[in-house]
Amino acid sequence: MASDERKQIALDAISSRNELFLSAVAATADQVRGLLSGTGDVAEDQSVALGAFAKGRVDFNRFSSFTPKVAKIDAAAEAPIRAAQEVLKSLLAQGDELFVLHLEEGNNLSRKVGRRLSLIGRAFSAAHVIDLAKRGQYQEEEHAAMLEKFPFHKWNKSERALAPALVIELSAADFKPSVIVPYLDEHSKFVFKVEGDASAAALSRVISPGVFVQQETGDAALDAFAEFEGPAVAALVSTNAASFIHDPSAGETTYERFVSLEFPKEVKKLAIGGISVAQQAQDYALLESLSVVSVPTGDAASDPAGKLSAWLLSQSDLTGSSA
Amino acid sequence: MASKETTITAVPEHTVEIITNSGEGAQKCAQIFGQTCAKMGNGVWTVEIIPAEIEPPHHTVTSTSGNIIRFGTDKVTNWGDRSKLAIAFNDQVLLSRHRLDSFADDCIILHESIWENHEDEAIRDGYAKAMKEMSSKNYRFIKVPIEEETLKVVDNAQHGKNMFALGLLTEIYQRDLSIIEKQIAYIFRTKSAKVTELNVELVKNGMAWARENLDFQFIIDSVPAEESRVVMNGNQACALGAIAAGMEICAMYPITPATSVSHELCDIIESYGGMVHQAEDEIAAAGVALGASYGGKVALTVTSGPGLALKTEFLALAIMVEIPLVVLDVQRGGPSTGLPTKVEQSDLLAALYGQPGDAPRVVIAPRTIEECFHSMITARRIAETFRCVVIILTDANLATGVQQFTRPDFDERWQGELIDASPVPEGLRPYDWDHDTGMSRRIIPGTPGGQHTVTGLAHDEESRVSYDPGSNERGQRMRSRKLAVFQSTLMPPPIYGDEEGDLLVVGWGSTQGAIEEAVDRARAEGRKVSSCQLTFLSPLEPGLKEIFSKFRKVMTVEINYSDNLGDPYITEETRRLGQLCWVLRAHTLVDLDCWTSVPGQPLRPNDIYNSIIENIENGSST
Repeated sequence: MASDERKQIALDAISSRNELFLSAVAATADQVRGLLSGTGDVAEDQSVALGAFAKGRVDFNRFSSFTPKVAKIDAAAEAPIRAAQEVLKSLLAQGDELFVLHLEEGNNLSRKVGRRLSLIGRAFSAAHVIDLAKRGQYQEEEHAAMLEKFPFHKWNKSERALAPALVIELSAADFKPSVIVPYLDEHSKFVFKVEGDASAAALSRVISPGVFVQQETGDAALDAFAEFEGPAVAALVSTNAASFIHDPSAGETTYERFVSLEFPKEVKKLAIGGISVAQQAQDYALLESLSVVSVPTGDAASDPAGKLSAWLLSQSDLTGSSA
Repeated sequence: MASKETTITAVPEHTVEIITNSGEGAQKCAQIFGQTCAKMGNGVWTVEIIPAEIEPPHHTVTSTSGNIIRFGTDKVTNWGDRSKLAIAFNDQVLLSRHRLDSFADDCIILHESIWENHEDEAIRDGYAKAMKEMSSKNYRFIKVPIEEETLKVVDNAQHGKNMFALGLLTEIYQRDLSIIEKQIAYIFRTKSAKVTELNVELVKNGMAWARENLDFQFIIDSVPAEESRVVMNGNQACALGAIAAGMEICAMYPITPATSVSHELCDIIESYGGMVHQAEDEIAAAGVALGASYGGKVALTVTSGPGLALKTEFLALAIMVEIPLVVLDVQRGGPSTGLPTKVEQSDLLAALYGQPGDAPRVVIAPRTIEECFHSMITARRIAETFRCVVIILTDANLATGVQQFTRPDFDERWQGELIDASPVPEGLRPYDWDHDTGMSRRIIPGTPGGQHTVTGLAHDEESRVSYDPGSNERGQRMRSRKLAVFQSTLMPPPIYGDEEGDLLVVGWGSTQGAIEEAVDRARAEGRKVSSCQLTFLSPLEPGLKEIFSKFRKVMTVEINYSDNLGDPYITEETRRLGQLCWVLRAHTLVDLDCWTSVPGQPLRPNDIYNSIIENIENGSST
């Protein structure tokens, strides 16, 4: 499948999540505009602020004389609020691109994801700054840096629940998904669009009881991934890899949660980037051990998947550190 | 029906009913038809017919579910009088509507043909008796093989008859099929494409059947609007209005007919940074909303009559501690659980006075679906400006009726901040009431220098519990004075018609369209009748006494109960009056009369017209 089509599948999968985030940012921006423009102690503002229901029924001049004179932000508060407003505007202006991370070959995935989330987190820090400024508690030297970056570890529970999803485009050599485990929290979602042949079961490393994991080799939409209410990771990989869905809501035991599972007919015995054959075999064995009910014996031992992993394991010394 | 010539009649408007058993999809059919008419530029008003029970037995007079759609070339402001065309899926639901006198004498009735010769003798008997009972009218009955035709497309006729019926209406009224297809696709957007295809096919089959078998069509011209418009019901309008007003939390407990406000909000409010909280009961919902407002959020609680009764404790607390709160009461029939799905305006006195102790609050009543949207913005502003409770009274007529209106142009000032979170100046007390206005600064938790406790007990300016006579007097006076100050900002209500005459009809809320249509008819006959629709009910709009003085008689028209003079034991002394009538008599000392009705459905213009004529001809002067 063409790269553009796969990117579209990835973007579709994160769109509803990110619409939620952008809407919240837009709503905050609206509120800030309201804050800065004031509710007004003048009739013209009141004629709008009171809404059309009041038109012809309320004397706006008179009403405005009773409006609390709070709308005018004091000089000390206005500057940080305007700075926060600029941050919100700049995030909104980026649109979908804000949620797409293209990893140049050889770059550190963990660091890049952390930086992007830190950039996105400025939406939350902008809200904090506004709140602090309104309360007269904003301190330039202490709080100004929040608008530059707001790393994931500082996000509170509500902010993590609103976390947008990311599409990460990278080459198979850099595809080491376990580095994003620290970011799998609340509703965070990641879709990897992997170019080239990756480790056949690379995503098995991020499987844990509460995390939805989908490795997709075909052109299926990631609907279940998008709808899952919780942390989720998906990877769009080449046809030489395993495809599977680990859905935590599908059952009590780990193997029940594998709602689909397909092993490749053949696995290449090549190191990929810094990922050795042995490591790939470990990925594969891990996937198999999580997804299969019990160790195959007797006739069941002739199962192709069982044979394949046994063969892969035999190709490497798991106790050593060979690459 | 054999091959025929089709008579095409141009009419300015028509009223159509689709009536089925509960669960047969009449609402969906009507929803699509109404939306299509609106999108084509017709004026539209729809009214739902909802059975009182959740699962009434099918094929009985109590199982009637459906929808009435009044649409015309011009703006339509109410459900009108009797229906000119009906589609009925069985004889019993048809009979129930006949018994309510819902059909015009020359109504065309398209009804399911399967029942006449049904294998079940009881059904055949029921059919025969129903048809006999209805033979007193000049209805034109046309049998339609609705089920048989539907089964040509789908296996289960229950899931398709409504779309076949929609096809009949589409052909009879020459509706734009492309709009209908889009509406169907939207309604079934979460289902597979096949579902949409089948539904469109059913519509086309219905059109083909009508083309082949019916000898009439109606043309109702439409004038596409120049401005952008939206089509929605009152509950949707309230929900969108709440978001436009910047409301951040809606705390509620499900109650008919208010629940769909929260359904609408659930779908979208999180995108705007808000949330819906379904509490464990009505009381808790009021408490959550109040708590959120105390914390500085813009809060709303949504309910209906029985829920309003349960919320009284927390409303009293909100009034006592002067925390802004908006309460939306979508009225239904009462008392007690009453008529959950039916229309009434019987919560007015409860909204105004339903509280132990003196608890002044603002009560407003939108008159149209458009005003449902805008009233939320106004309510928020009033509540925050005067630190008070604002109750919005809509009703089941507005809640479920569908109408189009000009798309609101969002303005950020609707959400303008009114909380002053800057440090509290030294010496400023939590209830530092301004002696002239009763107003004081709202201090939310966390405001530097603003730390204080709040209490529902009588308290002084420091917010400390105080039982001394002076501070209680002062607190009561200040809370009351705020309403007087707010009233001073109101303007006298506009008069519909001349500013003097023989009769002034006074209404409130959703009855505006029907009252004005009735007034128009009376005025067309040379009667000196005017009307006035109140929107601010507490405090009342000013100048009412002077307005009333220019008319020989003044009469309220309301959808709540009043005794009829002349009924056993009912005299001028014992007669209980309509709720607004009580209020206006007390407020103006004018001897108002009233005409009210509680049929569980909206008032019809013709019934109001008759009451106007009777009052002018028989009533004594005010």
